[in-house]
Amino acid sequence: MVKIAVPQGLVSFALILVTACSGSSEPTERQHADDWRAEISSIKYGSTASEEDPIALRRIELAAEFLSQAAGIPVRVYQTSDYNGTVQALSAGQLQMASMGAGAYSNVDSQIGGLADPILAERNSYGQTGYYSTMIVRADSPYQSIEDLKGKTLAYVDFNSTSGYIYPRWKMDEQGINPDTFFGEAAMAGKSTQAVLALSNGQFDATIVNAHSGTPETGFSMGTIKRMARQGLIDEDEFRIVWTAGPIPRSPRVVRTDLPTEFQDLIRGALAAMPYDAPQAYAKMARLPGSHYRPVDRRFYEEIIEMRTKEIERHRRRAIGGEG
Amino acid sequence: MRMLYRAWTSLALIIAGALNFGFADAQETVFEAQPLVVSLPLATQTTDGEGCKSASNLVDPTAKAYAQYLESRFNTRVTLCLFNTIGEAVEAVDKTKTNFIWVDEESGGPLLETWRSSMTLLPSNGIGRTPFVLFRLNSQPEINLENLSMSRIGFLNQPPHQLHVDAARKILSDYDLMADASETGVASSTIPALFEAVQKRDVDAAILEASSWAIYCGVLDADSTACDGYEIMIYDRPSASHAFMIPNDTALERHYRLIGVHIALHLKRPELFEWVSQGIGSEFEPTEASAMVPKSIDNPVAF
Repeated sequence: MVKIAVPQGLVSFALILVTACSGSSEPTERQHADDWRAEISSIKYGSTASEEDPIALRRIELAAEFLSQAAGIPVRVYQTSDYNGTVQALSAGQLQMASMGAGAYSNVDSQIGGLADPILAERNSYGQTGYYSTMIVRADSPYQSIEDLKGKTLAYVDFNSTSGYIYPRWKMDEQGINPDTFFGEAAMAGKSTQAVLALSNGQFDATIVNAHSGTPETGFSMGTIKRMARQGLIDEDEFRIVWTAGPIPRSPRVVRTDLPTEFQDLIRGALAAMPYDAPQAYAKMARLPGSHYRPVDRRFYEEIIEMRTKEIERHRRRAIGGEG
Repeated sequence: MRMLYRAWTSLALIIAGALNFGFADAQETVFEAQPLVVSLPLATQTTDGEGCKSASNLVDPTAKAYAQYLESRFNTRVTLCLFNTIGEAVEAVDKTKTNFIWVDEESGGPLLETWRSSMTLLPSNGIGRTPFVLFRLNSQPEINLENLSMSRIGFLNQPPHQLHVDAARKILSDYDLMADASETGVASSTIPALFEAVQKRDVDAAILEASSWAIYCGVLDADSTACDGYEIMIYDRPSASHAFMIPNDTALERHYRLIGVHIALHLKRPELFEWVSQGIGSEFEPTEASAMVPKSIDNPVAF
C-alpha cells in the first residue's frame, strides 16, 4: 500500500497545491521543445524510507526538494511500508521514479522489463560502486563463523532486500550452503533496523545487513550497524561480523521509461549534479564527501536480476511440491 | 469549525495561486526552445573540417550522428561548430552563438567571467575530482597558507589512498603550495599515522581526501569531537583540466538535461562518447560551476 508522507490533516491542502502547480490538466500534443510538462505535472518519488530511519527519509526529502527546483514542478515523496510496496507502485505506474535496492529493481524488471530503467547509483571517492552483505551475531555469542550457525535462527531483512536476502542466499548456495536447510529457522524482520534490534534482543542468533565504505579486509566505515550506532540505537561493539558477501551493485534510482525523454534526461542530470551544484544539501543527506552518482543501466544489475529470477524459480518449485 | 475551515481553504488557495504564478513564470522561461550550438576542437578528426554546420548538413558520419542524437534528446535545432584548436573555438563563441563548448585550462580563461563549468571527464581509473582537506593543529595558528612548505605537508601513499596522490598534488599545485613537480611531502601509511604526524609536529599540515577525513573525524556523528583540535586550511576539489562550459544564464533545465544526456553517453552511444571525449576519460561527470576558476589562498574553503 502506498501512503503519502504528509500528516493526515494536511492531505487536502497537498492536493490543492499539486493541482495549482500542474498548469495544464489535460495532456496536449507537444507544441514546442520543452513542453514535456504537458505530460507530467508532478513527480511521484517512491522510497521505503520512513520515520524509523530518519537519515534515509531526510535523504529522499532533500533529493526531492532539489529535483523540484531543477524541474520546476512539485516532487512528492511517497513512503511505502515495505520494499514490495515500492516495487508494485513503480510497476503499476503510480510512481514515476523510486530509490530502491538492486533486488527490488530486479523485481520491477521481472514485472515490466524495459518500462523502468535504473539511471544512477552511488559511487564513493575510491571509485567503488559496490557494498557488502554482512552476517552479524552478538559479540557475546559463541559463533565465530557461518559454519557455527548450522541449525540456528537467522533474520533476513525482506524478500526483496538485495543485501539482506537475495545476494547472501545466492553466495551461500555458491559456497555449498543451502540457506533453506542450513539454518534451523529463518524469518523476515521487515527492515534492517528491526533485524538488528531483533538480534540484539535475542530473538535470533544472526542477521544479515549491509555495510559499505570499506572491504572485509579493511573493515567498513558505513552501513546498518554504523548508522544505528550513530543514532544511539546500539553499541556497535556488541556485534561481530562472521561472514560477508559482495561487492553488490549499489541501489539504483529507477525511472519509468514511458515518460518523456526530456524528463528522464533532466532527472538523471539533476540528481548527478546535486553533489556539485548543491553541496550543502548533499552533505545534509549524510553522504560522505566525494561520493557521487554514477550513470548505470540494466546491464549493471544483470547478475542480481539473474539471482532474483532463479530465486523465484526456486520458490515456485517449492510451492508445487518440488525440491527447494 | 466552519471559520477554521474557511481560513484554511483561503490560505491554501492564496498559496496555491502564488505557486501557480511562480511555476508559470518558470515554465515560460524554460519553454523557450533555444537552438543548441556546440563548439568542439575536433575539426581535424572529421571530414567536415572547420566551421559550423547544422546536423542535416554535416557529412562526417560520427559528427552528424552526435548532432542528430542531441537533436533527438533536446527536440531543437543543433549546430556543430568544429575548430582545429580550443583557443579558436573560445575566440569565436560570440560569432558562432555557441552555448556549449569544450575548453581546457590553457584556453578557457576568456570565458570564466560569464560562463560556468558543467561537466568534465572522469579518468579511466574511476577516481573523480574528490574534495580534499588540508588541516593543521588549532594550536599552531602561525602556520598558514602563505608560509606553508610542501616539504612539511603530510600525505598518505599506501593502498587505497595512493589512488588520490595525484589529485592531492594537483590541488596543492592549484593553490601554489607546490613550487615544482619534483617537490614531495611527508608520506604516512595510515590515517591514524597521518594525524599522529600532525600531533607530533613532524609535519606542519596534512592533506587527506575528504571522505577519509569525515570518517576519521566522525563528521556524520552530531556529537563527535574527534577533530576539534584541528583547523581546516583548504576544503576544495582540484581544478578541472578540461570541461564543457555553458553561459551563466543558461536555464537550469538545459544545464541538467545536457548533463543527463552526456553522462549516459558512454552507455547509450559509446561510439559517440569515444569521439566527443577524445579518448581522455571513461565517462562524463558533472562539475561545480567554478571547476575551471583558478584557486586562491584568499578563498580556500569552497563549501
